Amino acid sequence: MAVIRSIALALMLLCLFITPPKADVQRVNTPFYGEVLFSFNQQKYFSAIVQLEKGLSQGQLANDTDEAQALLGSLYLAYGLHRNAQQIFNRVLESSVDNKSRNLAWFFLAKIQFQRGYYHLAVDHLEKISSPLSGQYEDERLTLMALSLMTLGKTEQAIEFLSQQMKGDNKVAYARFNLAVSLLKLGERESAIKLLNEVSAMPKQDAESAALIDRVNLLLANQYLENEQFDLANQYFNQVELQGRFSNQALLGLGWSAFGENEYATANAAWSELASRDSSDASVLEAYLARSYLLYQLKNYSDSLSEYKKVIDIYQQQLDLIEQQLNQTDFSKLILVMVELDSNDEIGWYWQHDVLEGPLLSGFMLEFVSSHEFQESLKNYRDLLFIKKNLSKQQASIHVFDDIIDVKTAANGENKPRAEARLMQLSAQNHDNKIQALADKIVEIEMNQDALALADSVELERLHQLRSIDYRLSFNLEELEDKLDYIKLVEQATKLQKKQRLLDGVLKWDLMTSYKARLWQIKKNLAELESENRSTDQFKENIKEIIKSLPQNFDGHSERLSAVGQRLGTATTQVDDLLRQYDAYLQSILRDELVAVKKRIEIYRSQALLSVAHIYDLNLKLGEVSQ
Amino acid sequence: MDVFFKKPLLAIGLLILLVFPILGVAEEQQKFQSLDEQVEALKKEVISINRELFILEEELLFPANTQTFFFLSMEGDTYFKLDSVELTLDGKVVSNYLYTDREVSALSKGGVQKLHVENLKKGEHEVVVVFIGKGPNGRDYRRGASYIFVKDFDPKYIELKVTESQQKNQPKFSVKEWE
Repeated sequence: MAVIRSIALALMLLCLFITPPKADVQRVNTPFYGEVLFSFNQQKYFSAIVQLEKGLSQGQLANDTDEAQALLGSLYLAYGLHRNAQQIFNRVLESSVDNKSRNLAWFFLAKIQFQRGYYHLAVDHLEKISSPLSGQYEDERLTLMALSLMTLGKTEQAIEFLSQQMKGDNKVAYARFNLAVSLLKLGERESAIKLLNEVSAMPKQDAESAALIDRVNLLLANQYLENEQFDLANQYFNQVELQGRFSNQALLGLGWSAFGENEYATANAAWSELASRDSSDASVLEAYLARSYLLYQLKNYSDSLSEYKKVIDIYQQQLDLIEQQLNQTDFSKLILVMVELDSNDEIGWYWQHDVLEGPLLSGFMLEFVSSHEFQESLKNYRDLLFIKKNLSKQQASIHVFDDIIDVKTAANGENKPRAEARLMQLSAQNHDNKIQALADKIVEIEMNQDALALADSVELERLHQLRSIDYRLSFNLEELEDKLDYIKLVEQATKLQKKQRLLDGVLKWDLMTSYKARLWQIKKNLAELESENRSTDQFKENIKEIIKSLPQNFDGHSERLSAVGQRLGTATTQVDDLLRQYDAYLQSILRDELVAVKKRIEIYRSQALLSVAHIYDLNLKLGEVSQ
Repeated sequence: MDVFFKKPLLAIGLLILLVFPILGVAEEQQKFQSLDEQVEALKKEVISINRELFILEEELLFPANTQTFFFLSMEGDTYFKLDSVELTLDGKVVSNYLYTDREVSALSKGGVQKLHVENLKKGEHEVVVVFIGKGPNGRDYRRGASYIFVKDFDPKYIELKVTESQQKNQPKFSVKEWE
């Protein structure tokens, strides 16, 4: 039992000093890694892990792989996936990383071992750290080492490690407080008080440090009270803030301390102030008893008897209320109220909730609700609620994705054949041969200086006409050879032939003189044609690319979706089952605790009843008070 | 009388009980560990399911040959406190995002927000982004930046960036392709 308590205490202590990994300003190489940091910096650990795992599996974090792996380990740790975190850090240690990363990996691994209760392994890992860690991690390392050594009974070494810490920091103060608590448990009172005094002397910088210092002062005062050093006890009780969380306990202790010094007026003032407070608080309930006892001590038996009777009634009322809570309270609903507001959050392991609904439970159960065991269970319960919501959302997504696949399959059925037909049409219009033929022709024209080949259609028509006229003139002259008017006709024909030759010469002259310009133009036209042809080819390539990018079908996606759907169904069943188990477990520990509180009040009540009997007994003897 | 003289000690005992919370019994601890292990395994499975669905979603909605990502990043938040961003793509407003303090803080620590994903055809596109917030001296600040880019068959990553000019004590806004 002592060992279990010790482990549980250590776990509780660890929760106090472990904080979420700090995200310093960081420049990323890949946007997807930046996206992970965006979630991580908002403490959305679940989203960050999903994005990081996706990025790593798709090779999107190629330039940030080392940092991404280290971050994944931290994220697993932050989200309560300790085994996975350990695997990552082990991998980091196996690979040839730099010293800094190796030291950090040992540190995180030690954290995991500590949390799992393997303190000697935690110490082994911490001892492998070869140089001081950066920033906050160094103080955490020293704290972790001190607590591990402490649990292994190596007190002096633990204190030595704590003395190396930076003083003034809240986390360091917590560590010292925790170590002092451990030392007290081991009976090392002097060392504990020395540490507690160091924390007590720290300035109250904020609400957090003020609460811690109050707690330390209360612990110190109780130590002095136990040792009957009432002056010192008084001094520390008085330093606790009157309206703070620990004020009830301080007022109760202050009363006893004054009582110990026979300063009954001060004791009465402290307990009277306390008695006016919420009676669901254990200190208040005890103050009733203490005040009655004070009156007895002052031999004011009549008032003492009256007070005891009132106190018995109050205790009975409280016991009735607790009984009522035990019989009627829906603890399941109570637990749900505690976590429901935060169940959308992804904070994970560092989340803490210490408010219980209900006037009775809040006072009696405050300390229990803050305990490691209850908080850890509550975190898991809250995480399970988040998972349930997430799975429900993803179930809806699966239906949507199914519809998308149907729509895309249908669209593919129309678009793909259309694209393929267009591709065939373009492929049929192959201009490559024509362009090549034209290019060959130009080479030939250039080689032969063939200006006529560059004539346009009008010029060709004219040349054709002139050749036709020449032919017809020759033909007519042969036919008219024996005719009388031969001479006259020959003269006319000769004139026409001259004219035809002149025109032919002019046309050819024009062609010859414009040969270079025409050749340049036709070469330009050829280049343009080639360019257009290339564009068409590119267009064809684009269509091919589109066709290629269209999945042949969505069978692969459908299969994957179906497999995920099955896993999702299994996970949903598991989460429902675990939620039921956690609900029952949390209910049982809450109920057990309430029963323990009930027993405590029953002891108070018995004490009061015994006192009443004792006073009656005295009165009978002294005859001062009638029955 | 002895009963009463023991009372202060009882009180001290109770005080110490309040300082050291009551811890669980062995059976409860075992039960807790068993449940804890089951929760851990379930968490891992749910992460894996989410990852698979995330990949499927991207493949189905944003095929690689058309997908274009618009990321927003910040370097420094001294001269500009981001409130919102309006993203216009080829003349059409595609995103209007309002930032929480938590998100702005996450960006200023090096986080990069995937503001928008779009399927774009091959060719030239214009993106216009308007950054709205509080500038130097807490004044309302609204600045725009634009960028023309060519989309091919590979995924495209466009970065909308807020930086600071230490010389001019002013914020700077730019849009560029992620390098």
